[in-house]
Amino acid sequence: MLKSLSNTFVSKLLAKSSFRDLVIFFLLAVIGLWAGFSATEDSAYRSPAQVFIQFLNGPDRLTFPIAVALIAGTALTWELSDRFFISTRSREDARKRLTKILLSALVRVFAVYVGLIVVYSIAAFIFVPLVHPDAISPETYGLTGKSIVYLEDVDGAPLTNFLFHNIVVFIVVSALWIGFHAITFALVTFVATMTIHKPVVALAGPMIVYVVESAIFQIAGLPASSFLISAIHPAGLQHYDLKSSVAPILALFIVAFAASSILIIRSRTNTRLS
Amino acid sequence: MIRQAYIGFLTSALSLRTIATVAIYGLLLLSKISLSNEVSPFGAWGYVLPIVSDPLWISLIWLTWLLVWTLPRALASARDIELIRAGSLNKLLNLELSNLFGAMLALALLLSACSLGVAIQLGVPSSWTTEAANATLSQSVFSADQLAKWFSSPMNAYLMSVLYSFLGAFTLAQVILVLAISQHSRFAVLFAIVSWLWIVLSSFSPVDIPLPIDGAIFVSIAWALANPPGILLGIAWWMFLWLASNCFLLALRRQKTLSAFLSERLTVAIVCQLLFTTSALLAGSGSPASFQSFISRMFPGLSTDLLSYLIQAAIPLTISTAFVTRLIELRNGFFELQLLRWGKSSKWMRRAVLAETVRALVTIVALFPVVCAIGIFTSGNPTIDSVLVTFVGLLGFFAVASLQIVIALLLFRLSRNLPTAWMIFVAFVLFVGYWFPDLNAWISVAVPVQISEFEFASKTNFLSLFVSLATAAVIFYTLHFWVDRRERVIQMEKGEINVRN
Repeated sequence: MLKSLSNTFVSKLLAKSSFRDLVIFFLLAVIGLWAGFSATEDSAYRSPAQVFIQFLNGPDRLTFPIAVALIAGTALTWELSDRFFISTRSREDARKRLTKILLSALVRVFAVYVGLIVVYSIAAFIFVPLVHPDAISPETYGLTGKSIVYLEDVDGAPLTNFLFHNIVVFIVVSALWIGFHAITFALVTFVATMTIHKPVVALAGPMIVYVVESAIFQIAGLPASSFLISAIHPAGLQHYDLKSSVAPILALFIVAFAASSILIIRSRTNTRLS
Repeated sequence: MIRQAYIGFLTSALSLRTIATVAIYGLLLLSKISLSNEVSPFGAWGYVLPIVSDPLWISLIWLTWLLVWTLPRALASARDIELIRAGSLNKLLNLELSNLFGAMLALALLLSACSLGVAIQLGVPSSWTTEAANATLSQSVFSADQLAKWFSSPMNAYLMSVLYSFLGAFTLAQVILVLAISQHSRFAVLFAIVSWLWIVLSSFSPVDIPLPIDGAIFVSIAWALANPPGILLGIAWWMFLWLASNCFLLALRRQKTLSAFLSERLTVAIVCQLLFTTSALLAGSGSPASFQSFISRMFPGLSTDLLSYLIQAAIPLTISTAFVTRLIELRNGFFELQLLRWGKSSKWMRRAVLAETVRALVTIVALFPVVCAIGIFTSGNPTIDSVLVTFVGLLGFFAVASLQIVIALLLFRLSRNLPTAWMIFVAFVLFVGYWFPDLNAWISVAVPVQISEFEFASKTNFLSLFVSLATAAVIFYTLHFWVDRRERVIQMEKGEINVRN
């Protein structure tokens, strides 16, 4: 009895999107913090911004599209495969329901990744200097003076330009950057879930887009445009133009947004939903 | 097929089209010899090699002949009577390709004979002469002194140039034939003319054409070698056209619909081939010193960049994810039918895992020629050792795929929401596979362990391979035992089994 009770309790909890998102957020944060702190333990960095970049250069680069797909796509996949959507049609308009599902997914994905950036910022700018005081040592790189360190940072990662204004502005811009990428991949998940009948392939859709795009651009010698390097934060191995990183995600956003809109508009006549 | 190749050879050798092509080539060679101010230190090779390696002459001689030869045959084979005669689209294509192979072989032999006949009085040295080695490099990348940088002997340079053009032209012809026999004759003609014009245009280089879409790298080995990674892009183009035309044909043979392209097993095979080709091309970029060195780059384990790691990890994941999609389909009422068919859940499990692992083995072993082909073109001939090492690397992929297949089955039994559970597993595997290199030396979960350039197959390779396979076996038999026991308990509770027996 206890076993069945606990099973029901866990199932009910897992069925709640907010709980699932919280679990994913917690796991991502723990893994990211573990990787970040492990990396900063024995290394010296020239600035807190570089420590922050180190946190972003962790496992999130690998798990990003899968995590987004899990947050944004699980509910819809479940509804479509259990024919829940079809039975709801009599009570709710398809367009209205899909819009609601999509908007909720976008908000949740955005919130999770903005939250992650906040956690990493607190870790990089507050905790690392406290826990590993030797980790930030510009002198090791022969850098003296704040402005020289800033210039070096900007040379390494273009988004650090915003550090000139304020740390808060930098964190907000970084959060918006990753949030926008997450929203775009959530739209890709929505399109994949609506168009691909096999749920696993649909959930793997964002990962496929992520890897294929990265492979094409990196092989073509344009690493700045690769999602693998620029999606989490445009801080790769080299300095490059920020525009090259913005262009592919903007293009993907426009395509995914247009496709989502078409799918929602035509949902009343979509045979899969009727 | 051999008969068709023989017929093609004879028909081509006696055809006016081939003789005219050879005559034009002979005249061109003669004019080159007579117009040169001084005698080349390379003998006959000094005049022959610039012609057979220049994309302009290749497109104007080889490819023009190809158009004149292939298009009438392709249009003729589009008739229904030809299809009835052959029996199937595949057989018709094979017959036409065999015929074309013979015809192209005849042309290649006649061109070689013509070269020999016209230029023999200048001498045909078997190696690069000392004078040639000391000669100042000419401006053209198609000249013999430039080719001497890449090939050990002039004969080698000649054979490789002809073989490269031959393979490029043959791939092009395959696409034309596939389009024609699939009743898309107009499109076949259009494709042939546009491709020919593109290669000619690329050869003239009126503007700076980006290397990936430069038609010249498709047929000219000298141009491809002079513009790295042209050789890799050229082979990638061949592979792509070959795969695309085969997929098109396979889809036609089945349902003539787009969904036929995506019939699961075919998709898995194609995706694995594409991923592996990309991985091999990445490993071959920068021309590794030897085949062994290429192989160690091909199977780098975790000591690689994130992109290469993801591409390699995607190979077993594609195979296991395809298995998961089949398992999910079973949940729509088909699982009960499978149980009725096999009698017991454990029996079905045995059969499913066996079928899947055998398929995985076939798919992975089929990747072997891709590795060898790209390895040979980028780094030279393989030794027996390096071939064996390649097998060990491929077996590593098989071990990873087997482990993932068994875990997919485990999740199928344990999880209610398999798609989500599987995606969480994928994220977990990718994370653990990359961030715990020490673990990978014991068990390969995402990619096989690194293969060393300097030793045949290290203990670590075999250990990791063995532990992965053993873990898969242990998980499978534990699950098997559990399912069997549970079923027996249910049967006993229902009274279907007498406890005393």
